[in-house]
Amino acid sequence: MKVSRLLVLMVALVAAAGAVWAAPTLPPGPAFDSVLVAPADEGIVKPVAKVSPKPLRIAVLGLENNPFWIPVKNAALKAAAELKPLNCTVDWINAGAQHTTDVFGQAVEAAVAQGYDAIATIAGDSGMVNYINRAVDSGIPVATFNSETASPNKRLFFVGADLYLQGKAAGETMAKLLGNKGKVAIITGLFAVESHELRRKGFEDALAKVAPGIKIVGRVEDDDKGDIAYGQAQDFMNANPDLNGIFVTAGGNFGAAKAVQEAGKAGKVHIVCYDFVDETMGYVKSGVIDGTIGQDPVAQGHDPAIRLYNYLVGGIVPPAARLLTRSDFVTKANMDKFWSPSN
Amino acid sequence: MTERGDDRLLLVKDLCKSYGGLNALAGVCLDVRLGEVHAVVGENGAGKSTLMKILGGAIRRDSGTVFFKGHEVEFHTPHDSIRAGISVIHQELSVLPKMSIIENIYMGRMPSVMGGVPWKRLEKRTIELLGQVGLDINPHLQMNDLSISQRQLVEIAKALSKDSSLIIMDEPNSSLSEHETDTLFALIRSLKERGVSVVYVSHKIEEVLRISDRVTAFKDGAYVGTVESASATVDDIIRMMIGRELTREYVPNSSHGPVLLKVKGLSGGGFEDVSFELGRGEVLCFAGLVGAGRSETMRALFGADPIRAGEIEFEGRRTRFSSPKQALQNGFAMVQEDRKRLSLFMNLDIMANIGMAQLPRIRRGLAVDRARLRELSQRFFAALSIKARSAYQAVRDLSGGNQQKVVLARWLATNPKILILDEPTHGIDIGAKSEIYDLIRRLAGEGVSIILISSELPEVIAMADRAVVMHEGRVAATLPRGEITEHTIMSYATGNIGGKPR
Amino acid sequence: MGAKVERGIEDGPGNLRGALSRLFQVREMGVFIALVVLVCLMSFASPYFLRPLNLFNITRGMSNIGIMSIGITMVIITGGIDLSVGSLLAVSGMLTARLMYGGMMPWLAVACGLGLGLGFGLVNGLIITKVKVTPFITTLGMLSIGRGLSYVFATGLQGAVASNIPMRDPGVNFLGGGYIGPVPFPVVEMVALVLAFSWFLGNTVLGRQIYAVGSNEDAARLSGVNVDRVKIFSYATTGILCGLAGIMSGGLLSTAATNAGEGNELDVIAAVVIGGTSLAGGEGSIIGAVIGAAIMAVIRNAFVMLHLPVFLQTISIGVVIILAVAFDSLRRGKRR
Repeated sequence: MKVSRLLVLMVALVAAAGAVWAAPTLPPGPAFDSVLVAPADEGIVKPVAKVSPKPLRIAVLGLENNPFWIPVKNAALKAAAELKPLNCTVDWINAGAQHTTDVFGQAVEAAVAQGYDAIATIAGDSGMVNYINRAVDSGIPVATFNSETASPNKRLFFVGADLYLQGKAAGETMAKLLGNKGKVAIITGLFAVESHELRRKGFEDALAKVAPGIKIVGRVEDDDKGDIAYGQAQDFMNANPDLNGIFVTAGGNFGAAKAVQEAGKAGKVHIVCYDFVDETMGYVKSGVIDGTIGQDPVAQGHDPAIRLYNYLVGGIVPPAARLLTRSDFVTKANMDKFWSPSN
Repeated sequence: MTERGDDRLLLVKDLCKSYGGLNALAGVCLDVRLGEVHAVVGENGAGKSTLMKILGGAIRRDSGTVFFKGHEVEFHTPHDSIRAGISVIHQELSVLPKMSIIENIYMGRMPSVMGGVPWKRLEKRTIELLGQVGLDINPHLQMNDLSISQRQLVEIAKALSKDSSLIIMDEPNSSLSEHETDTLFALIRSLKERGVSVVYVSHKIEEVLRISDRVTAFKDGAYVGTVESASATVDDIIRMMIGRELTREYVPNSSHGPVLLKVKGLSGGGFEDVSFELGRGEVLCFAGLVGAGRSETMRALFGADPIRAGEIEFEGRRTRFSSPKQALQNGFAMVQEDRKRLSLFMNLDIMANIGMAQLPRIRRGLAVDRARLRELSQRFFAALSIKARSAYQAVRDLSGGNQQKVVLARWLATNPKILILDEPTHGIDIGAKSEIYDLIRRLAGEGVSIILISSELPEVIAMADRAVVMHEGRVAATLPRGEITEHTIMSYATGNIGGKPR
Repeated sequence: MGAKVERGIEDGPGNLRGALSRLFQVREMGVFIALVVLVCLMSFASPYFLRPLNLFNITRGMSNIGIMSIGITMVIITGGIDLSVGSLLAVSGMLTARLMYGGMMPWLAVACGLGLGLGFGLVNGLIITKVKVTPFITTLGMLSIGRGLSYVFATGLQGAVASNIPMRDPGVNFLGGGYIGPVPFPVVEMVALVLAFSWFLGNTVLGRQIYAVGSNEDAARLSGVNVDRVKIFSYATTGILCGLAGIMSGGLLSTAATNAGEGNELDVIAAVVIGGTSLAGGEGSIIGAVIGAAIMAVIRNAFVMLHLPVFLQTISIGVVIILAVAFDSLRRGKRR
C-alpha cells in the first residue's frame, strides 16, 4: 500500500535527519534574562581565529523600511566581509515591510528551509516565540537583535537596546533640561508597538520618580510620520502656550522639530528623541532638538553574526543573554563623534 | 423592389444577430415610411427588442443591412444613433434615478456655455417638453420621486427633445393607465402630423390597431409579415404572432367557496377605508388607474407596509401581519409589480430564485438540501413551462414573461391559500400571458383565492369573478360578475360615478 | 427670481443664490451643522481653540486629505472607489524629491511629480474601464505598486535601505508650508480647488455626466454618455490631486518620506462618507467631503487641546462615521 511505503520513507528520513543533527554538540547558552550593559567589545567583537571545517551560512533577517536601518545593514555587510575568509557566508535578508510576526515568522521559516546554519532575526512581538523555538529545536541557533519578545524563548542571545531603559534615560534628560518643572507632551509612534510603549513607560516612570513636578499634557500617536507630528506639536503649543518639552518616542521627530522652529520656540520647547537619521541630526545641529538617544545600530547589525559564528565554530558562549547596547545621548556638542551626513 | 424607396425613412433587410450560438435575429426585415406609425409585434424572443437595440446603437448586428434616410448606416454606440436622428425609449426604463428630470432629458447632449451648463434655458425647455407629454411637475424633481408611469412620460419627453426623425417606443404603455395611454396616443398622433415616424412595439393588440398605420409581426427572430392596420383584426394579428387563437373570454368559475378573508376599513399610506371580502377559490380583481392605492393596500395587507387603522379577518380570526414573513407563514403570497427591483435576484440562477422563499424549509441541518431544491425547482420549471436552457441559467438572461413565471413559481412553491398578484402580466407577451391566465384559473379551481391587481381592462374582464374598483385610495365600487364591463370599471375608476369626492 | 418652481424645492442653479443653495443641499447642511456644533463646544471647552492660529493649523492639517477627497468624491460618485490615494501621494512626492535632489529644476520636477500622479490615475482608469477589473481590486493593487515604487525612487532598485529624501526648494516648501499673511498656503490651495471642482461637478456637462454614470451606468450609456471617458477622467483627476498632495506633504517638512500618506485612503474615504456621499454612487458632494474632513480634523485637535486620552479619539472618529451615515439613511427613510 501507498501508506506503508510513505511510512517507511518517513522513518528513514527521520533517522537520517537524526544522524545529521546528532553530530555537533554545542554548549548551552546563558540564562534567558542574564544582562550585560554595553559589553567592552560592542560593535567590534572579533571572530575566533579558526576556519570553519565545513562551509557555514548565517542569515541576518532585517528591515529596510526607514533610514535607521542603513547603518545596521552596513554593519551586517561588514560582518560578512570579516567571516568570508573563515569559510562562512553571511546573508542580509530584507524580510519585509514591518517588524511584525507575520513578516518575520515566515522569514525565519524560510531561512530554516533554506538550510542556514544560524539565524539572527528581529523579534518585534511575542508571536515570534514559537517560530524561534521551532528553529532552535531543529538544531539551528537563533540570535535576536534590535527588539525582542518579553516572554522567554530559546534564542541564544539578544543584541539591542533596552527600550525601557532608553525611555528612562530620556525622562531623566528631559527633567534635567526643564529643571524638574514644567509641561511636557508625548508624541509616540504607535500605541500598538511594544518598543514604542516601553520607551514611553520608561520616560513617564523616570519623570514621576525624578521630577514629579513636571506635568504631562498629552499623549498622541503620529504613525511614525513627520507631517502628523508637525500638526500635533503645533496643537500642543497652541493648547499649552507654556509648554516646555516634547518627547518623541519613534519616527517623525523632525516634524515636531519643524513646528517648534517655526513657532520660534527653539530652546524654549525642548525636544528629546531617538536615533541618528539625517533629518533628525539636522535639527540637532541647529539646536532645535536638544538631544537624541542612540542605540548603536552598528552593534545590532554586526555582532549577532560574529557571535553566532564564534558559538558554532569556537563553542564560545556570549557573556550574557541580553547584550544591551550603549544609549549615547547625542547633542549639538558631541554629534560629530557619532554622525556624519550621509548625503 | 428598389432598395431606396423615396418615402422610406428606415429600411432593414435580413438582419441577423446571435448570442453565443443562440439566434436572436435570423433575417428580420422592417420598413418604416416617413410620418408613419409602424407597430412591431411578436412573442417573447421574437427579436423585437434585439432589433431595437441594434437600431439604437446599444449592440451591433452580425449581418444584414440597415438604410436610414437613404444611406446605409451602422451605429457603433448609442451616440451614433442619436446623432443620426433615432431615439429609442427602452423597454426596461433606463433612467438616472438620483438625478433631476432636466438632467435625465439632456444627459449625453447637454449644451455648454463658457464651460457651464445653461440651467435656466434647459429648465424652460424641459417645462415645455413636460407640458407636451401632459406632465405638470417640477423639472428639478429627482426621477426617484416619480411613479413608473411618470418616468415613462419623461422618457418620451426626452425622445421629443431630440427632434428625432424616428422614435422607437419599446412597450411604451406597459405601465401606463388607460388615461395616460390616451395622452400618449394623442402625442403620437401629433408627432405623426409633424412628419416624425414612430416604431411602436407592444403586446397590446387592440391598442396597436388603434394607433398604428401598419403592423409588422416577428416570430422566433424572423419576419412573418406586414399588414395595414385598418384592414386587420385582433385575431389576424394574434395568428401572425403565435400561429393559433387565444381565448380571452371569461371562463365561469364554479369552485367558489366560503369567505376566507374579510377586510374592513383598512387605512394606511395611500389608501383609506378599504373593505372587501374574498372567498375560497375566488378570483377578485382590483381595477383602477395607476396610483389609485391598490398596490399600497395589498402591500399593507401582506405586512410589507404599516396599517394605520382597520380590521383583517382571516379564516375567522382577527389577524394583522407585522412582516411579510408572518404573512407567508399564514399562507399568503404576493407577486410584486416591479419584479426587477422587488422580486428577482438577477445574478442568481432560476433554481435559486424559485427556492429562495423555501430555503428554511428545505435544509438539512445548517445546509440547504440541494437535491430537494433541485427537485422543487424542476417541478415548477416544468409545470409553468419556463423557457430556458436549464434551471441553472441566470434569471437576468430570461425574457420578461419567463422571469415572471420564475417569480410565480417561487410563491406557488409556498403553497399559498391566498395569492396576491400585482400586475402579473405587465410587460410580458401574449403567449406567456395566456399561460398565466390559464394558471390563475387552474389555481382558483384548486381552491386558491386570488387577488389580481390589473390596470388592463380586458384582463379584468377575462379573469374577474368579482371586481373592486379603486379611485384615489378608496373603494369606488365592488362589482359582481354581471356588472363588470369596460364602461362601468372606467366610470368608477375615473371618479365619474360613485367615488366619494374628497 | 423668476423661475417657475413648484413644491418649494430649492431653486435651480444658474445664479449665485441658486448656486449657493445647490452647494448646501440638505444633506451637506446636516454635517455642516454637526461641524458648527462641534466648533461651538470646543470654543467653550478650550480658550485656545478659536484662536486664528489654531484654526489655521487645523485647516492646514486637513488640507492634504481635503484635496485628495475632491478626487475620491468624484470617483465614488461614479460608483467606483480608489484605495491607492495614499500610495500615489507618496510616490509622486518621492519622485519630485528624487528629481530635485538629482539637480532637476524644481518646477520641472514638480511637473513630473504631478504627471506621475496623473499617469497612475490614468492607468487605474484604463484598467477599470478597458480591462474591466473592479475598482476595488485595481486600486488595491495600485496601492501596493505605488508604495513599492516610492521605495524604489527613494533608494534605487538594488538600493541601500529605504530613505527619506530632502526637498529643500523654497518654492516647493512654500507650496506645502508657506503662509500668505497668517493664512497657510495649503489652505488657500484647498479652498480654491474645492470651489473650482464644486462648480465643475454642479455646472459642467462632464460634471453632470459623472453623476449620471453613478446613478445608472446603463442609462447613461444609452443616453450617449461616454462612460469610460467619464470614469477615466475621475481616476486621472484623483491621481493628479494626490500628486499635488504628495508634493505639498514633502514641501511642508522639506522631506519626502516613504511612509507618507500611509493609511490616508481610509481617512479620505471616511471624510467623503461623513460628508454624505453614498458608496453606491450617483450622489454626493465635494463640500460635504471637506466638511467631513474638517469634522475629523477638529476631533483630532480637540483631543490634544483638552488633554483627553487618545484612545477615545480613534473610537470617536469611528462613531462619527457611523452616526453620519445612519442619520443620512434615516433622512432618506423619511422621504420614502
